[in-house]
Amino acid sequence: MVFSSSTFLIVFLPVSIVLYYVIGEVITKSTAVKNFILLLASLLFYAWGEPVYIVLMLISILFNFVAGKDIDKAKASGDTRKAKTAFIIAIVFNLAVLGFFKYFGFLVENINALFHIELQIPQLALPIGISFYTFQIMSYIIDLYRGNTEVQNRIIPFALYISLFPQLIAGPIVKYKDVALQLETRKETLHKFSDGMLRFTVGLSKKLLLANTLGAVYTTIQASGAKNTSVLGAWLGIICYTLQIYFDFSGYSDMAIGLGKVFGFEFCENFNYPYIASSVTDFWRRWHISLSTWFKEYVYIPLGGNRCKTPRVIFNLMVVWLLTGLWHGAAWNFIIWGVYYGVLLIIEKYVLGKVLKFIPGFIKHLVTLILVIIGWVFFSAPTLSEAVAYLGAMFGQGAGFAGGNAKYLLATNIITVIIGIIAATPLYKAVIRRMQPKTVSILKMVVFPLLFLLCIVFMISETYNPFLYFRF
Amino acid sequence: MKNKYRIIESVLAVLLIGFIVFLFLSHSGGSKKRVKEIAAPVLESADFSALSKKTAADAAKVFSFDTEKEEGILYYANDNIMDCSELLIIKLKDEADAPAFEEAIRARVKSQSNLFKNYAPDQYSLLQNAIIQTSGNMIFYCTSRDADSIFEAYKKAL
Repeated sequence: MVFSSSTFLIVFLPVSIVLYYVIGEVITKSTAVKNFILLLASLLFYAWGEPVYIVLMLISILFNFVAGKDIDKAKASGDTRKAKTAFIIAIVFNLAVLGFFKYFGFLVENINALFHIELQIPQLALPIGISFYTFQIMSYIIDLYRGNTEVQNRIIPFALYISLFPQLIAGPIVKYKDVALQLETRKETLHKFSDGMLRFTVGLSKKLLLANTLGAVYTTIQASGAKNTSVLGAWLGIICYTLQIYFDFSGYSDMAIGLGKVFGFEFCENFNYPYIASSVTDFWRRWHISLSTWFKEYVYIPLGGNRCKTPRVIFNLMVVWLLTGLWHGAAWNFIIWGVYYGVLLIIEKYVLGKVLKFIPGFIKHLVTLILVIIGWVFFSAPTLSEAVAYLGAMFGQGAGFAGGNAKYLLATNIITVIIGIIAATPLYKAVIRRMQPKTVSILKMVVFPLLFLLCIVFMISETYNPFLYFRF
Repeated sequence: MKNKYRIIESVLAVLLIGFIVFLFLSHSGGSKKRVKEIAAPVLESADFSALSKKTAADAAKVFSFDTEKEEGILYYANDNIMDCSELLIIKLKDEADAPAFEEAIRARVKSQSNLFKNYAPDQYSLLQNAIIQTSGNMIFYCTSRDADSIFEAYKKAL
């Protein structure tokens, strides 16, 4: 089930909210009951789209719940060797599940290509959200082993942590230690509820009004093939994709954070206007923050982080970025995308270093943005060769400078692109800050219902409705 | 005494393996190739110059498909509304969705047949001989004078 579907908006969400508040708040006033209702809703939410893979999720939940108790018991008895064994078993299990469902096909494909053989394996669908929930599970296991969090002795809150529907499918990746307390006790308020609904509407608008519209432009350009795409068309296409992926993913995060608030949770922020970044390092402090911090905390720092000699730091960075690329998908273009960022960050850290301070801000923003846009070419293309062909079209190797189709698409979508560019900056927040609080309240009362209605209209008339990050 | 947690973990690991075996056994047909790979030999099997390539969004509008469920799609149609020729190859993320997609295609063929029945008997005849075939997560649909040869090329390409 997706947030931007009528089933979710008209049936699932209202019913879940009513049951949660009527049974959980009015009748029982019990967090345990609320957790149980949310868990049932979350499992139904997942099963709606993945009726088979709900089994996999339940096995994962049970296994890690037991593994957590195993680690805790060994630690409590002072047996560090046993604790380590239990920890390794849990990590191997989770990585094996993720590796099998996400990377096995890719591995076999490459073995076939390398040794010119024809190993045949049935191609299984990727369980939706597996990368997100596996990383959440591992945060619990690692923090428990490190002693950074307490063991969870009750299955319902634990299962809810893994399956909580607002952020189950596409994050943010919530670390267990950050929500452990909220799973036991949380306060729902009217202010939080309305704040959450407004945030949800913002996310829904980003997705339906901007991401889908801009995505349709990119799809049209990409479908015509790199050879038939002019320079103007290629740049327009990838700029539209750049905006699409931001509004799509940050829109989902807004909806997740908003829905979390509706049910009393506070999730971490996942985006902070990444396209105003002044360096690639800055970009990754602003883009998919929960994934970057996960890799930093659980991979980069354990490898030694930057407290080592330069060659080792470079190695650590490359490992993290190779894994970041692989996390996004089992394909060479994602690996290249990850390595591309690894190399850029190393250049920024060790080559450009202090030079960056003397470069005017505008140039730094522009160069960063161009580098990010080029990165999206690798990310969006179905294969590496298509990414290279698309890059060629961007730099004149396609069909001339400005074809008729590109001019038409630019003329018909320029307003959406401009709105997208403005909406990707904190400009509107600065304008709101200058307004009187009363004016802001009135504006909210007018703008948000209008946005919601517009979303409904777009939702009914559009069938092109995928969330890009669902496939990860 | 044996560690009870380790025993439960072992049981769950066995259950997981059983689940994977079940997934493999219940997986039928389909293809692991990408639609683009399958498309190349199919497009060489007949003359498609009269048809124009359409996007996934176009197909979604025509067939009311849920594009989220598609892994890849190839859709060619004639822009001339008097010509019903179409070629459609879809690869789905989950083969469980195949019946719904096949049903949507059959609905399209039916509505097209109703449209052409009384005033374009040649087109109606093509629609009556339309090929719709589902194999695992792959769906093939073709309305064309060369439908048979196109279908043969498709089967070989899978």
